[in-house]
Amino acid sequence: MAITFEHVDFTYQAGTPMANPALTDISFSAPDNCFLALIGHTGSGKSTLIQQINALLKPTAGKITIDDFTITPKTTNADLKPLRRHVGMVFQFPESQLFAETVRQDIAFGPQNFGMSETDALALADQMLETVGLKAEYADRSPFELSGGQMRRVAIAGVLAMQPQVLILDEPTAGLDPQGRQEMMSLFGRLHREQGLSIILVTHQMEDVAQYAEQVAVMRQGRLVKYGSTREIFSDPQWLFENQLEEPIAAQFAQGLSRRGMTWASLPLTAEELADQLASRWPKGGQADV
Amino acid sequence: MDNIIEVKQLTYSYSDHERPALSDISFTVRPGEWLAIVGHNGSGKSTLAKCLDGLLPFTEGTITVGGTELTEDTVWTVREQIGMIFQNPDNQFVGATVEDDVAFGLENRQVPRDKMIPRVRAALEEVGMGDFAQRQPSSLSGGQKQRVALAGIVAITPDILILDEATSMLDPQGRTAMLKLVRQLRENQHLTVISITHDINEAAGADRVLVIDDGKLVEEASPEEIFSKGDQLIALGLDIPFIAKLKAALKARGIVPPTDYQTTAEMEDWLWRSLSNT
Repeated sequence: MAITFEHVDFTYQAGTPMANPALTDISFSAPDNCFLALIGHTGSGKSTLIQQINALLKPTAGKITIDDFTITPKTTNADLKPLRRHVGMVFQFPESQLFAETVRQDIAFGPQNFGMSETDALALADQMLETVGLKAEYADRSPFELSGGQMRRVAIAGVLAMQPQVLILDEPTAGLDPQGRQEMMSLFGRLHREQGLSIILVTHQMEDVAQYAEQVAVMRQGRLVKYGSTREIFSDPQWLFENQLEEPIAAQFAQGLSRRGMTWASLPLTAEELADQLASRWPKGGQADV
Repeated sequence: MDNIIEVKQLTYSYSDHERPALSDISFTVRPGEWLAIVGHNGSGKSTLAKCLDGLLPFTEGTITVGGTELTEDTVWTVREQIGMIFQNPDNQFVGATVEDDVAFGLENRQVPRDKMIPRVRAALEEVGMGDFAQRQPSSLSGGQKQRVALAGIVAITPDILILDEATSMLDPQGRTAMLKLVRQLRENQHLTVISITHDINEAAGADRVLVIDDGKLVEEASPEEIFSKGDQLIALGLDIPFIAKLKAALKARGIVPPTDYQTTAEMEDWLWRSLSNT
């Protein structure tokens, strides 16, 4: 689903003395089947922005288009049900929203809520459990007996069971150990590649941005200050530095070699890209071509 | 003084689990040391931290803190010596304002008000949150909340600071700032630091690293020795350092890098020498 923002403003508690502008004049367009990373400091408006996409918060001005759906300040909640089916949202620490007696029932809750029969929803739940990499034996367990990482997978399976076309992820790996983080990110990569899901990822992990994202949006103080391909965003180290954004470690390392005189076809963003470029000029039993 | 903490053959089981969460753990901590404890999610690290602070009643083994053996009768004497910071900043804020929160520990210790006020102020200054004394916790970022939690600890002047994944919910700037602050506090207040972490930068700053797996102490080594394990690190609950990832990627392309541990600068040197004409 293509997502377009046109001059979107959002103010918390608009029209009251507590009014607090959180988004100002946001315009961008993300193509269908995007993998968009949303980066920026804490408080820059990232979480407010993603809540506009399934209209948990509606813009105070401007327009959002998601395929055939349009959200404006006048959109009523009755119009939003079909949209919310298509846009799945995984909040921060989604495991805190688990509630059912068994893992299977928890995952099946969403589809049933949208009118699927119990039999179909439970069957779908088992399928989703497999998708997120949990063994079938977990289906009958209480979600509260699971480890933090497993609980998070169940919560994500619950969102995937709605069969969304857009998956919004708000810091989905926060608090997991490195192995858990890696497994979670490769799951999202696979959903994107194999099932064509559009993914919007809010993150502070530049390594994940470099490895998975195709587009990057940079937020600062409620404004979209840069939007482009991942390579474009990371091609300007000076701008990143001025905006206190970290570069991927591979890019930092490559620039150490640049300072000694090495040149790059394009700045490597991951260890794999860096190794590719180093290997291409490695001396074959003799000298390198630097 | 000898060791500030001595743990001998500690075993702990949660009542509803068959397997012990900690099994036969023994180690010591020297005063002023920075000890990192690593291990993957569910390895027992946090259980160990809670045992040290007397938050979990272990039945086997002994824990001695500052010469006092931890028992039901001495638990308050032991806790006097330990300040603890947890993962989620929202779960440890008790005051309605920043200064109330910092004062909480002092109120518990019945410090008179005229002494309390300057101590709260000094503690907030120490962590760089002096301007935030009247603010409500909801208006603070995660990193700021953790600094306030640190101020609460500074105010009660413990000998030992335990960080239980205290930086894992912060953004990279917040994390770097917090570690810098802990290093500075350790220096100024002569603290012994125990940090339970998945963060390689945090572990790299330690004097010594303990690895816990499945409730057992499986390794005790310097950060350099731990980091030389390369891709085994992920199983220990740590990330693989970039240099190890790069070496693996080069090897996959038929290039053989040195096998011993290397810093970023050493790796850069090696690559430059291999590639340049000299």
